[in-house]
Amino acid sequence: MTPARRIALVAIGGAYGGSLRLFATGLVPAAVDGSFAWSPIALLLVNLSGSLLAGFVRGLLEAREHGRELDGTRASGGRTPEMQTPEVRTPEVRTSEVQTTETQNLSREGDRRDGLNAFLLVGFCGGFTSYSGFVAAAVAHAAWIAVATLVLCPLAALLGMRLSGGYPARPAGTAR
Amino acid sequence: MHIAAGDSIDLQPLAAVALAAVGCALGCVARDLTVGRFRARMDRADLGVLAANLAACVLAGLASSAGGALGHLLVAGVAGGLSTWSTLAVEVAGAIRARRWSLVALHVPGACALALAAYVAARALAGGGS
Repeated sequence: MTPARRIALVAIGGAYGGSLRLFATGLVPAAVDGSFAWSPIALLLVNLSGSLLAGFVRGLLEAREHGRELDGTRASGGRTPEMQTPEVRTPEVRTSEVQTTETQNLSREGDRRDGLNAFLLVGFCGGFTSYSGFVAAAVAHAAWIAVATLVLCPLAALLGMRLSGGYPARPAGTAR
Repeated sequence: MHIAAGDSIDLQPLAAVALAAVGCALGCVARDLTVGRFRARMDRADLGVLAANLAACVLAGLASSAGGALGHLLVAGVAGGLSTWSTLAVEVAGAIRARRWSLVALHVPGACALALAAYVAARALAGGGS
């Protein structure tokens, strides 16, 4: 993906996320009771739902990556090219064609994944949730907002990763 | 603004949303570039998120007394887009899964204390009180 395309996707996602956040934390509470009394709670809900969605998207992206690796292993019969004996290797020309198609598919899949990451994760979720808004709300309103956000947002992201289905229950062996 | 005989809509909320959207787009791009720079130089995207969040808190503190269009653009827009909870939450979730408790401590209570201090100091500097 070109840098310009990535910037455009991040900006568009951010614009959507930011306007939705303002709508949820400013316009809706003001319309409900004419004041901004519900804004901190609305921001907590926004940060929680954004973290849940971000965890889900991250898990989905990692599941796709994991699936792609598995597909690659399956296509080679569970063996890397170095492990294959000369008699099972395909003819050179056919191998070259297959490799070109696979490279194009991988590139397209990688582009799609990067696009999803830029638009949804960095742009939309990043613009929808706000750390500065959370800090301002904690200073202006109540410390419990800070504590609730600090504890619940990472848990929401964990839940999102689990819900995506592709994220293993425990990291396999090493630290990420 | 009259759109039909007798009908009128209040453009103020729409203008606020538009300003926030533009500011947020700019903030998100700035955050992505910051995180990318940290990732390329130090292989630490999480520190890029931390730096972006702190910068956004300083900006939000400095602009906290600004009202109207500038307030929407800078506080709800740029600072809101520059900072993020979702990416931080995912980083913390990953650290919890990997049992890297020092990272969790840095990004949960540590970053929060730094951000609160940055916001309050910037607000005091801007004359908004603490």
